[in-house]
Amino acid sequence: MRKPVIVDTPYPTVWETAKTMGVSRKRTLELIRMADEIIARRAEKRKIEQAASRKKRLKTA
Amino acid sequence: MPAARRDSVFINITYDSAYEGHFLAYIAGVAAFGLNPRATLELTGGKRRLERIFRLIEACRYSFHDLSLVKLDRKQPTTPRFNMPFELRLVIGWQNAAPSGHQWFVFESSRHRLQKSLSDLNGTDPFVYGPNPEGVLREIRNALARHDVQPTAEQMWDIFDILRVDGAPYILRKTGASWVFEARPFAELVVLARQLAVECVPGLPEDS
Repeated sequence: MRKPVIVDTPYPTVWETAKTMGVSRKRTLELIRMADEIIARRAEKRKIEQAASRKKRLKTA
Repeated sequence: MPAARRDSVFINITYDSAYEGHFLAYIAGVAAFGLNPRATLELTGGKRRLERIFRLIEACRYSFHDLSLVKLDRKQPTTPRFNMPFELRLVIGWQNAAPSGHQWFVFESSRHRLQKSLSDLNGTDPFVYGPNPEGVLREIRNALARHDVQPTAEQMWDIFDILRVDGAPYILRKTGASWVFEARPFAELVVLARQLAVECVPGLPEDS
């Protein structure tokens, strides 16, 4: 089995990535906002699910 | 010869609709390590395609070669797909002639297929990911490591799942593309995946 290769490269910023990939600033901003929204939505959903399962556990106890 | 951008990974994979999930997994996995996925989908312009492919590979620090779809395609006339092994050969030849520190990795879906399909690579351990795209994430974690930030399986899965469930359908709708194997959706998926990585992998710096 090969050992993993250690990545020691600098991190490109999202804006640098967008420039490399030829994505406009406006569209990059839309994609950043989209990522924020999805993550916030998923976090909220997770919270609701956790609360529901806690409630269920308390009920059965 | 230009210095390779140290933050890029060339993804050598077949462009096949049955493989969209795998492609998204490669994008998610590479982005989770703070790297930029690159692919021949980006190539436009008038120069010879082969030359443009080589320039793109040359501009990457790493390359992932998925040889699992080196088989006869369904379209007539049925022919084997040679592009993936050919691009791997380009990398090996280049590194033998002028070593530049470029690192290449072979990915396969089945354990012993490579020995049969490309026995010249005997002695090279492929990263065998199994039947599902999720396996690709696992094998990227086996291939790469970082000292400062190591993305977890769960973080990589989150990025992949968001790309698959929300990102790709949204980007395809917005760009009017029919699948992810086109230049515009690919470019936008890469940007989205990098932003998701910044948010899902704590410690991954937003700025260098």
